[in-house]
Amino acid sequence: MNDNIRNFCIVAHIDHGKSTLADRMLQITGTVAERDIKKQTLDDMELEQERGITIKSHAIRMEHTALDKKKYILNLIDTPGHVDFTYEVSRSIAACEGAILVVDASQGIEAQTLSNLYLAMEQDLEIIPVINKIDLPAAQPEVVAQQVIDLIGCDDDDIIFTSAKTGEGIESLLEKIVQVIPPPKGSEDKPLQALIFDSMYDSFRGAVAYIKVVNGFIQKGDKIKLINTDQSLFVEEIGILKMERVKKETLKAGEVGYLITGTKTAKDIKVGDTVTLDSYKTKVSLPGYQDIKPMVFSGVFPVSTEDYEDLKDSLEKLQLNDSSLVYLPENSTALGFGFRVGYLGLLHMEIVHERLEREYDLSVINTFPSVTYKLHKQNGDIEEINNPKDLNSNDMIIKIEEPYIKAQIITLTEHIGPIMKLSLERRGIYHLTDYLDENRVVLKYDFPLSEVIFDFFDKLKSISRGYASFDYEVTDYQPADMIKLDIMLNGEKVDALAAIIHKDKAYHYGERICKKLKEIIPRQMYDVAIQAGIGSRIIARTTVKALRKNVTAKCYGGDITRKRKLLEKQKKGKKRMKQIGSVELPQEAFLALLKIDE
Amino acid sequence: MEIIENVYIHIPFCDSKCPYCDFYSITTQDNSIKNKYVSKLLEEIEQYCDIISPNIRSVYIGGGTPNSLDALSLENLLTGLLNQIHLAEGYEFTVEVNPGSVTEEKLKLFKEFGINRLSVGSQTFLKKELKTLGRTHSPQDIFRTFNTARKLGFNNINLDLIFSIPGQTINSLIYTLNKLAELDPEHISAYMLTYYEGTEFYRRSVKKDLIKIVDDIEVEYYDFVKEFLGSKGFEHYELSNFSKKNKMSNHNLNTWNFGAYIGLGTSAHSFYLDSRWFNDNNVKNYIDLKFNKYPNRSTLSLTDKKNEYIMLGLRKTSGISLENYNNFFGNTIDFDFRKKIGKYLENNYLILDESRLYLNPEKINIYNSIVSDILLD
Repeated sequence: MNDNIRNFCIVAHIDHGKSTLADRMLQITGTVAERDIKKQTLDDMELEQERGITIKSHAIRMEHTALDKKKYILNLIDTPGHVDFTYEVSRSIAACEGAILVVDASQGIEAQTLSNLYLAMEQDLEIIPVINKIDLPAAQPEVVAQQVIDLIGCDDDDIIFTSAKTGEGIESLLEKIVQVIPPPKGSEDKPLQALIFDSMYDSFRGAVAYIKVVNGFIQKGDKIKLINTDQSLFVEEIGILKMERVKKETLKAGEVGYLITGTKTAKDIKVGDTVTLDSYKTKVSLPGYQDIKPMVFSGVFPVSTEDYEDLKDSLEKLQLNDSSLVYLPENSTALGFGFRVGYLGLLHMEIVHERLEREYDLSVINTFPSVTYKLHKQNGDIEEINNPKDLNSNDMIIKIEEPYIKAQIITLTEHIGPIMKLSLERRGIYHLTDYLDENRVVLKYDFPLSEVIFDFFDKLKSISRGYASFDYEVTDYQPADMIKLDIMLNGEKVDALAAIIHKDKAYHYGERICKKLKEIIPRQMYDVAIQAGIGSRIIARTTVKALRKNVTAKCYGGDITRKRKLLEKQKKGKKRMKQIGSVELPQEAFLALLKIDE
Repeated sequence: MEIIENVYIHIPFCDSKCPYCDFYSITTQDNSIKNKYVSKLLEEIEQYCDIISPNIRSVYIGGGTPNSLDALSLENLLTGLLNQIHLAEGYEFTVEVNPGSVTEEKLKLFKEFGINRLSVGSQTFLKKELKTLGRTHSPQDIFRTFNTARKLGFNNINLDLIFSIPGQTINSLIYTLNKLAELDPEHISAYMLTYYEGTEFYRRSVKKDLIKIVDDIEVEYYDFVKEFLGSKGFEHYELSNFSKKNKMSNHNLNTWNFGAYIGLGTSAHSFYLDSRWFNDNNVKNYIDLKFNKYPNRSTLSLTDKKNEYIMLGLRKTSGISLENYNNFFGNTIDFDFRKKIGKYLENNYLILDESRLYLNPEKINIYNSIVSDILLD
């Protein structure tokens, strides 16, 4: 009997007000007390609150008495709002029967609105279109409404206009949820199948899985099986999610809640996996499980070599509640011991770095990010590499393949020209232009992933005056003419500065990187020759001339200790640099690769 | 037992304040303050009689402007001082003089009291550059003072030179150097202009109101000064100091050799055994308050001492005597610094021979980079 349950999510572009809308619903249903309302209640990581984006998804149960006087259970399943987390979004969506599509009344439809909407439509969810932020002076609800109607083919009347800020329209939205979204379809009588749509790490209880029971029921003490990862575990605790976890003895088909098994690490609990009973002879997995693979890799090295152990511990801790983070030890001649870290995408990479610095108080150097390339060798082997140092010219490589993405860019028509130019520079393959209305278009492109993993989005924003939005999904691998570009300082290759780059771009890139390094490397006691090369061929070079003057003219009896301290300070300044052969390289040099156009 | 054989006395009075100078001074004309100051100086030296040698090897009266004291105060100071200390045979007694304000009468007085070395704040021989530096003397004043001193029998005179003055060209530097050489002093201190924090020059350079000579040009000037003075028979014996044979400044050499010294008067620093201490920069407090012995005292660790020894020793072109280092610390410099100096010996930035460790003369211009890198952690 789950007719009174409504499971739904909210899909939206960043900053269109998803979290505020969620907060308002929690408030109006009395799920959270008035005084406990923080802005964006569902996002509890410090970083999330600060950036105003949802990184880890959560779920919460609300109770609402509808106009028909019946009590309904509304499970709001929050989804992460960024392109890097598409798979996680898709699993959250899979746990729902309906989706609220939130569009900002002043911004209109954006790239992420589309990609998330497509995910929801693939799962056959009932869509409730909501136009939010109608209180804004720049709001154009009618224009945006027309976009929405054109997009999903709904009627005028289906659209709900809200201001999450003032609370306007929220009551009608709640009523609409009850009326439109169907109750969960599963049945208590069938064998247990529960979908893990998210997980988190609790330092006291270990991994906590967020589940939706699709069929059957689960009880405390059950011996369960996670089908895809083939693990047998016991149910230590189950319950529902309100503002806190609320223990229950049983969760039945249609219900959403949490599951604690005593498993210590989040990575053992894979999002998308199916929970069933260990005792069943035939175990049927729910569709859609994927073992998610990191798409972007970079080296992470401690600034001071003595921080290596701390970095290792911190990554371990991060992985406890970020199951998508993977890392392996890496040894660089330039930077010493560190890790090769894999991320879902660029934002994920930034978040990991920021958390390392902020939550774990570490100073780290990040090397140039790389995607995973497939090397086809003469002997038929295919090797996957994500580190420039693994690309060696004498490896008998017949061809190299790189990952491609399908991207959609939404922009104003007036920016089409510059965006097409940028896309061409990034080796984009144009597919089509769709008009959302007379001013706004969707451009569809295929890109090599490597071309968008850094600074593409920033560039896009800048040439479109902040207007364009961008979203993508990784599709396939295609052959590419990639080479390894080495950077040498005084003839010595600096492994951490090497990059895998398209052949046509190598010359230009090499020149720019040499120029940038010349700006960054301070004059030293020797000339420093900076060279960029492919194999044994040098394609760009420049020199930082030796320091000519650094001498204290006067030193008498007056202030010797102060003079000594000044010299000691100069020495400390040096310590913050990386010694590479005879050259002192400031940490910014590694960052410079990422900001080469500035 | 080591004992102090070198005395510095600071006279913190000037007629006007030079905008580049970071030595402590005030511009009072009140002679009663100056008289009181002299009395307190004599009191101060008295309380350190337990650590001052009966045979003093060097005295240096600097400032400020020592000749801004009136004749009576100077006489009181010198009489009182010589009552309390005894000058050893072969002593060196230096007084700094301002060529614009020192009179023949005062020079005579210095001569009578046994002062045997003068240091003249000449700086440059071009009016325009003197004006930029805020100096009140003229090139003629330098000639006059120098010739008067010679006439009175001073046979050990230092002339101060400042170069890389804003607006200075290589030609104006050559002019000044030629004038210097004409006078033929025994000693020349040649300083690159330094913009010390807290000075007017520093503030003006930050505001770009003063255009600094760029490093690469400054280095060319410095190299030229070294070459020119070398050709005139001056030995370059310390980063900024040049002398005729046997006319090095013993007082300053003692500092660079890590010898003990006592500093008397406001802002003066002292060094003895493991301790450094110094007087505050405040004439009024110095006159009014009761003395504390060893004010602002700090103790040097063994590492601090080794670092200071290296830092000071390498300022001399002759570098550090291996034997002296060994005698001072009880182990060899090689033992203490081998790891630090290895690469510099290899590439010839530092040179180690049987008796000395010294900077390659060609690398003197980057003394700070090398020394800061070899200091012990």
